[in-house]
Amino acid sequence: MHWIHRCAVRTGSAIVLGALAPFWALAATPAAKNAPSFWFGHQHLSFARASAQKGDWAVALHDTALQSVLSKLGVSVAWQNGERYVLLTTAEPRIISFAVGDQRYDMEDVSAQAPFAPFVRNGDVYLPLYTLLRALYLEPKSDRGQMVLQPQIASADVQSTRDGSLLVMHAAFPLHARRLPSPNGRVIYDFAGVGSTLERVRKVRDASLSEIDVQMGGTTRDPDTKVTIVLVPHARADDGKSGDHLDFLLVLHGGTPGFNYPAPPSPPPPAIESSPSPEPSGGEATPEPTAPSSAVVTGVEAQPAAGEFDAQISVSGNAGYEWHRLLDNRWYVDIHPAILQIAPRDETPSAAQVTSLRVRQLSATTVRVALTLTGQNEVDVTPSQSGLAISVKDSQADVVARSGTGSIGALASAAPVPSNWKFTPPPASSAPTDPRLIVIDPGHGGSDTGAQNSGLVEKTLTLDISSRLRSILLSRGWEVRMTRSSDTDVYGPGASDRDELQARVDVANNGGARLFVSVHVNSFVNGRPNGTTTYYYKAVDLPFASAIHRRLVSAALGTKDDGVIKETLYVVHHTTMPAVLVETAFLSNPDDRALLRSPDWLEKVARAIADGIGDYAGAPRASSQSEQR
Amino acid sequence: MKSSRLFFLLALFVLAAAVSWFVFSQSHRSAIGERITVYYTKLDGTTEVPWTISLRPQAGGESAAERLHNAALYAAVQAIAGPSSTIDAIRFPPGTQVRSLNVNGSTADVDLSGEVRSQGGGSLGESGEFKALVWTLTALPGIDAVAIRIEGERVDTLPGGHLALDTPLRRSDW
Repeated sequence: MHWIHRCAVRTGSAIVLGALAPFWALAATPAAKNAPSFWFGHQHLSFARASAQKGDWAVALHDTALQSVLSKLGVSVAWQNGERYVLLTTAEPRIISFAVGDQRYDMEDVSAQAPFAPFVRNGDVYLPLYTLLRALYLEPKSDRGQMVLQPQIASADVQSTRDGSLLVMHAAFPLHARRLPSPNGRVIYDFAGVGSTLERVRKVRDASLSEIDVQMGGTTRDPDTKVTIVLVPHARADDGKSGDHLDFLLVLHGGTPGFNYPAPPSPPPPAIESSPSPEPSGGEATPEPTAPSSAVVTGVEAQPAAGEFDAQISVSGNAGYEWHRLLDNRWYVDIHPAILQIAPRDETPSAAQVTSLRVRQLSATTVRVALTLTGQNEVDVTPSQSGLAISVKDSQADVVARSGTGSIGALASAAPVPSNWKFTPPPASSAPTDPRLIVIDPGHGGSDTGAQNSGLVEKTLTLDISSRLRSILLSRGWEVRMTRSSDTDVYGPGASDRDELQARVDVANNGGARLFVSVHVNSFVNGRPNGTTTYYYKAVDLPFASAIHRRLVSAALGTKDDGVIKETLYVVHHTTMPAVLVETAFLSNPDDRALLRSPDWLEKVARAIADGIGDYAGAPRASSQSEQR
Repeated sequence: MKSSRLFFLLALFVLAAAVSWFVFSQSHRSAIGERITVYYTKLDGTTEVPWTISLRPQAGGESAAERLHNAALYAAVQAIAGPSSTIDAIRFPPGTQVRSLNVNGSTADVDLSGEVRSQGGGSLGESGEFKALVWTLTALPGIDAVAIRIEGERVDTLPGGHLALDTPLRRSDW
């Protein structure tokens, strides 16, 4: 009887289990019936490929609803099956990083734990939904029995500035602010469409403001947040504006400029070693004030490599340097005047040539980078616009140099040129077949307008300057060939970008020109950058570029000197003779733009380039004048 | 008998050498630590500013090649995104994405989305964008050059552009 009973129980259990199995299977499948759904704006989203997981939902990256949210927020994702990191870039931009098999996730410099680790199933990666939504500044909220994704104001950061404070606010969406009437001493902004989980009242100790009051109103689906900034006496606020991305910026002046935030009591250790500092003044490692003309050492990057040890010292601004090798194979370079923006370093590189690397502020105006070499290694020191490159070779010499000096930044490009350069330019990579021929390349043209701003067009300006330059050079006895002498494409309409640039190169290379000058007008996405830059690429270009740039600077053009810069620009790279590309001024900068409108200024630029050519190459031997094209 | 012992010893020596070489090469290739350096270019167009981001520890089963690939992808995505928006930096055009990244030998082959074509500015922008990307990727041990694709296709330059992209970019190009 007993066995009959046992058998009946087992059979019954099997039947019950069999009956429940489909329900379990259904619950375990990603497409659960009770999949989470939200109202997001006026759209109802159902996350069909989601399953409950440890108090959150595991949602497939390629779930249609999730993709809709990401698309609406302008979030891009980098992940392919087999890759470890799932990297989401927001429109701000911020990187939110998940890793397969790891509960930790990072949001810029903050690291946190998700309820479960992302996992891969059927070629898709599953992420914690609520965790991800909150990282995107979307708060799931209940509203009359339905769930709503409410965009949030995520942060209101205060930064000290030279004459006051800057309030920067971030949110899930671009913030549309409306300034409301307010009593003296207060500034009130209304942000429609966003809620806030920021603390209600925050006391602030900064130059221009003392308190930020955040008050959320409206409804769950249609929130509205008012932010009141309480100013300190004598402080005032500009009109707030949206930044380049999703920021709202409010510039405040007055109060107690230069007031510094007291350090927070005990900040949690950041997951990310260091975040980029907003310009040199922000670095904690910045030493005591120095002369305003000091350069700033922004980084020292050591790169052990096969057969040598390379260190790149990044320097912002102009400075001199002096290096010495001591008898015991210690080697150091002092950069002066300079301040160290990064923290001092003392480390042991994994390199065969160097046993130690130290970086420190030697005095108020000198930064020292010191190496301990393993022997009489040869050391190359190469200055550039961006700093100083140090290369310690494997090879050791019986007799080595013990010291040297030089300049970094604009000082480097302004360094005196050896007296014999003028009539004996360095050999080009191929000898010109027509030593009197100079090719001028007016940048862009035809279907390619180049930059445009306020009615000015780059292709027209470059042709104007180039035509003036041609006339001057012809009058001085040079042969001149223009890659274009009217508003046309050089290769032809509809050509590929490469064919168009190569056609310009071919005019110079096939003509056996002695020199090549490409004339351009620079531009940027905002109006801040300005100035004149001369670009080169090949070593043989540098003296030519220096000669032209020296004349451009001394011609009192009224533009900032942006220096002589090495850059792999196509036409300079692929021409076989000494070549330069001159970016005469910035069309995007109001001051430079005003200059570009002046025919006198264009003439002055053309004359300066011609004078630079004369300085570099002397005068053509014969006086015959000819022009082709 | 003597010769077979000699052969055995020789085989043992060859095996030991092979194992040593494999262990050495693996440890050399997995020289990526838990931090990587990312660069952005300041508005002067020349100054590269480094910052550090942290990787996860090497996972069990993650080979040295996979770790390099994962680190390079992370670094490239971060370099394309750039630093915090409050920092003045030369940036890739909004919406530019890393579509894929492969490491072939010592060259990182980066495929960017078409938004990169909308730079529309002058040499400053083009130069600063790609300089930051190249400095970031070549800061990883084992990578010394960066080849560029756009929407999967090799390109020689950018539209209306200035930069030569027909050969892999290296730090020495700047």
